[in-house]
Amino acid sequence: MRRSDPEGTIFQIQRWSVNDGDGIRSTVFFKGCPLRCQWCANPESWRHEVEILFFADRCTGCGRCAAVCSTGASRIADGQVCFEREQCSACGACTSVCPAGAKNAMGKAVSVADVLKTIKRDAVFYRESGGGVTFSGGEPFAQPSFLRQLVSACHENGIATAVETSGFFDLAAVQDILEMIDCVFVDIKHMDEAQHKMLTGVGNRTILANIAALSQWHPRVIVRVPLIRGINDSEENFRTLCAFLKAETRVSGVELLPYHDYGQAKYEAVGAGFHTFSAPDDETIARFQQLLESQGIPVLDFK
Amino acid sequence: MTNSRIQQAKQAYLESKPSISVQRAIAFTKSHQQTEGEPVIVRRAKAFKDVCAQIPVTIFDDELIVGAIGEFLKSGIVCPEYSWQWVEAEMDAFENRSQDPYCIDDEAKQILRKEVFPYWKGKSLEETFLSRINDETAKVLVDTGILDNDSKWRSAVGEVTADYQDIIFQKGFGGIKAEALEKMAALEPTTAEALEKLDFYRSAVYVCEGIIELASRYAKQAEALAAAQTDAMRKQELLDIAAICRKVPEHPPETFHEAVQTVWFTQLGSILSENSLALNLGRFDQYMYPYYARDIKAGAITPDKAQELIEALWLKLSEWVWAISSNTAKFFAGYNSFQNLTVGGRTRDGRDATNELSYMCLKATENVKTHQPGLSVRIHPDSPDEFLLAVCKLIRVGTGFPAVHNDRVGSDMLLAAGLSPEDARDWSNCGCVVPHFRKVGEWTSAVSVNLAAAIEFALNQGVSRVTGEKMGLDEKAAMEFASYEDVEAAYYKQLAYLVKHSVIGSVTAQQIHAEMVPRPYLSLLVDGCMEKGKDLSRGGAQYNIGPVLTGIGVADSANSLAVIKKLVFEEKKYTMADIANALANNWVGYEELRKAAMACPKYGNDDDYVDTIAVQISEFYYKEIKKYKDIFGSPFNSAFMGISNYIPAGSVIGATPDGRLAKSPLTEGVSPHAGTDLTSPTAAMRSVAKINHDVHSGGTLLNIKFAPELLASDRSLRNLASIIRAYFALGAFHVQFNVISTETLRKAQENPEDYRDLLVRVAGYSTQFVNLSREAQDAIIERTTYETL
Repeated sequence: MRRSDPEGTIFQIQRWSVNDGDGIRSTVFFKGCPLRCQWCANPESWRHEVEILFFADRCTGCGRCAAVCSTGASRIADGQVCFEREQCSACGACTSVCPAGAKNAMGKAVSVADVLKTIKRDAVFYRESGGGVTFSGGEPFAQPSFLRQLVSACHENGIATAVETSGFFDLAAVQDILEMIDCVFVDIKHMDEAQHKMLTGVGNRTILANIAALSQWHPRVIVRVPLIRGINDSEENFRTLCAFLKAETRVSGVELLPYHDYGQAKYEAVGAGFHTFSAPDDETIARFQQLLESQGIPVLDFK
Repeated sequence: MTNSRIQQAKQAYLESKPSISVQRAIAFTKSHQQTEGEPVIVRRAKAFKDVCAQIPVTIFDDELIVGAIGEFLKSGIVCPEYSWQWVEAEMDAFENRSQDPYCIDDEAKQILRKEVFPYWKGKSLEETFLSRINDETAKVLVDTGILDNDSKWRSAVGEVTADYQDIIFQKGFGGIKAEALEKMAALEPTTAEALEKLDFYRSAVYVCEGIIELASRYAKQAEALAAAQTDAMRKQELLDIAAICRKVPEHPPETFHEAVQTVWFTQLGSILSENSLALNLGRFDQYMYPYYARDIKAGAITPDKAQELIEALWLKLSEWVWAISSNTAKFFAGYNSFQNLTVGGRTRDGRDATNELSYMCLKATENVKTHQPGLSVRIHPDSPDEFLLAVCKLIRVGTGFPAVHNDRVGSDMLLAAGLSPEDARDWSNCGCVVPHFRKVGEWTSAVSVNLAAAIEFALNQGVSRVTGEKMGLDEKAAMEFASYEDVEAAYYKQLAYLVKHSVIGSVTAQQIHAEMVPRPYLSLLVDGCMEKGKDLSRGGAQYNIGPVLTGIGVADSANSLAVIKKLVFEEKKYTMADIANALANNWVGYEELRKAAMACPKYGNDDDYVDTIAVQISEFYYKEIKKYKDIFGSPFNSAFMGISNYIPAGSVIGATPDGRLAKSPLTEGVSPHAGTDLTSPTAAMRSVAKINHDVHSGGTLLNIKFAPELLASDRSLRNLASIIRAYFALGAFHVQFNVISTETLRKAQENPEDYRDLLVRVAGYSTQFVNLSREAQDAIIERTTYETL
């Protein structure tokens, strides 16, 4: 590849992704996100840097990690393994000696060529299914030049692309990337600015403005709404959402994503506090669906 | 939804127990006692005729298609001429064995012991084979699980696809008989060759008379039942049945109903003639279509009526229970008789061949959920999307059917084996996944070759870790290998040795088949035999393709070599001695090494490191096999297909370097090893497609298990259709899907009564899950599910 081949940090490429857009896809998970949604299913995607996940429940206390640790982040105290995240340089030495799989390196600096090599492997499956590649995260637009190169390379290879984004980006700076992307999934987590800031760490003005602007010219913008009981499932929030979509956007539709807690174990492993949430009941979800449809906004799903 | 007649028949079927009928054995034996000294083919033809004249004639309640194998709804028959010793030894335990039990009453056992077995003592195929096979080959071939070909000497071979298109529907058995008489009249018995031909044609006349007589006995029985029947509708049905049985299979059928009855009588004849597996139905949708189209056009039949007849045939095909030894049952579990039926594909001139019957066959399997016929579909780039979606819908039902095949690769395999392009396009499946053609004589599953044994022998100086016996070549010890290339060379040397003895076993079996068990009935169903006046077992078919040696455990072998390459010779973290000791101790005390071994690249994850090794093994195997020719001068063929053979084949192999524990199952076909293909189904498919499928003319098999949740939506069905098309675009031959949740399977283990019709794909075929042994059930549960991806 070119010498200017930019590197980016990702934490996974998941082949056979079938819920992140049309057909059969590979999803590239970018590492690093400007938001800190309390219900996030991928807390390992928050920090941009490579980090070590420590699953304490798998640890047998053998101490091998402490023996190879150069910074003292992993050490034995009172016969137990302690992990001081702040001291960790994420060198990964402990992950290769851990016999129990308790230490995992999360994230990897990769080149565009590295990613392409993997995603091109399933090209025949994309073609037959009308699928492609989805860039997810983390926040893909937080690594704009890396994303630009990847999207452009897919474009050249005839591979369809989609992106899953928080919508929290400088639109003018990434407009050229969005022009090459076939499908944009963008979240609306809450319509209230203050609530949004409290729940995610950032306000929603930029996000809503981006959706409004982008959907005027982009043919396929799909809004995703995570549904969390007691957080954003009020009638009011939904009515505001519908009004916004109808009045200010030309989005293709909305996909409702009821909350799940599959990410729970990872919170402890990255050293973050876990908040307990649940999904609204089926009736509430059905009511939102009807509300959207009654406003002429298609409800989509990729199940 | 299926109609009530079929529903009732299905219920009766599910409730009946497989039972052994001894009537065929009695009639066949008595006949032989009266024909001592006559040519063997004539004796067998006369015996067949006597069987047709003497076995009980049974029409079950409400049946539309008639003809029973025995007096029980689910009947198995024994054929002592092939082997009686295992029956005598095992029949007292038939009812209680774990895999494929049968009922047999004391009187039947008495008769077998007093009247049947004594006659065959010293005369059976099994005894002859065992006395002929050389000691060195026997040591690795007979009841070892290392090489296995006992289905070629403890039973007949089957593996025939009746030619309805050009023979049976054209001539009827009356026409075939007339042809034989004509050929006889033109022969002067002045040469050995002419005498042999005369015997063939004479035999042809007997067997035609036999099958015609059997049909006429059914006509009489139907008339008798009609006379006693008070229900006017059933009375008329019975009279219609009688009229049909008077006409077919003696004369060509003219209606759809007559054609279905012809197929079943022909099939029944095949079963009675030798009780063998893989008596295939061929391209049913193609040869039946003209009758269907004509009847529909004339208003003589409705689509519903035709559907009912197809489903009635499905039940008939499932009534026959293939009676086999407990050893064979381990390899061919689930009462399966491998009567394969193929739909879809292309016409002889290359157009899409899908028609209404193709869809109706899918529907029949969905409705009756019987384990027979083995339903296969051929998919090509121009197969209608609707058809492929119908296939995917049936896959979702979870019967394990249909097996999905790449139309073009099937043709390529047969082109490579020497067929003309038109004939190669006209292929259908034999048994499980072997591309076959109705004018071909071939042993499509001649020997199962345990590829993992070559790993064991290469690392253990030819000695089995399980039995301690020397079964392979005595070569240098594992610690003496100085490079990975040394290890690889040792593996290939052991593999070549196994191939050689497989060839010896096959050729020996072929010789005695030609001598002892000619096939006067089946020879009439395959073009070429009549023309040449020559039996199938002597090369009478229009095409003769060499026997297929089925490799088991390509994944295990590749994974094992990859571990040695990486850990010993690249990373140098361990030594050959470490590996050898770990295997000798079944990994006990070597847990860390086992963990490292399991973390090495595994075939099935689209990782070229190990996939390349799998490809190399498959290429070596193919080329090694191609060096040998069978008794007709045809080169041997390779295959990687499964029966349930990967379970018993694993039970005789100690721990292997890939981390596998001693005696645990190997891997079926070209599939990744259970639980190791963790990347994605697309990655698994890409790994498998790296193997050059087109050269393995005996077929290749990939088994993928999906949890039903993954196929719940229409969108996911379209994705399933897409991965099939993509997989085939990559050049692979076959894929089948088990769509069953692990939870459902566990429930079925606990409450078999509630899951009697739960079908699973074992490998190459489907059978009722509850009919599998506990070990086979566990192996299926363990296969990777892509539930959570």
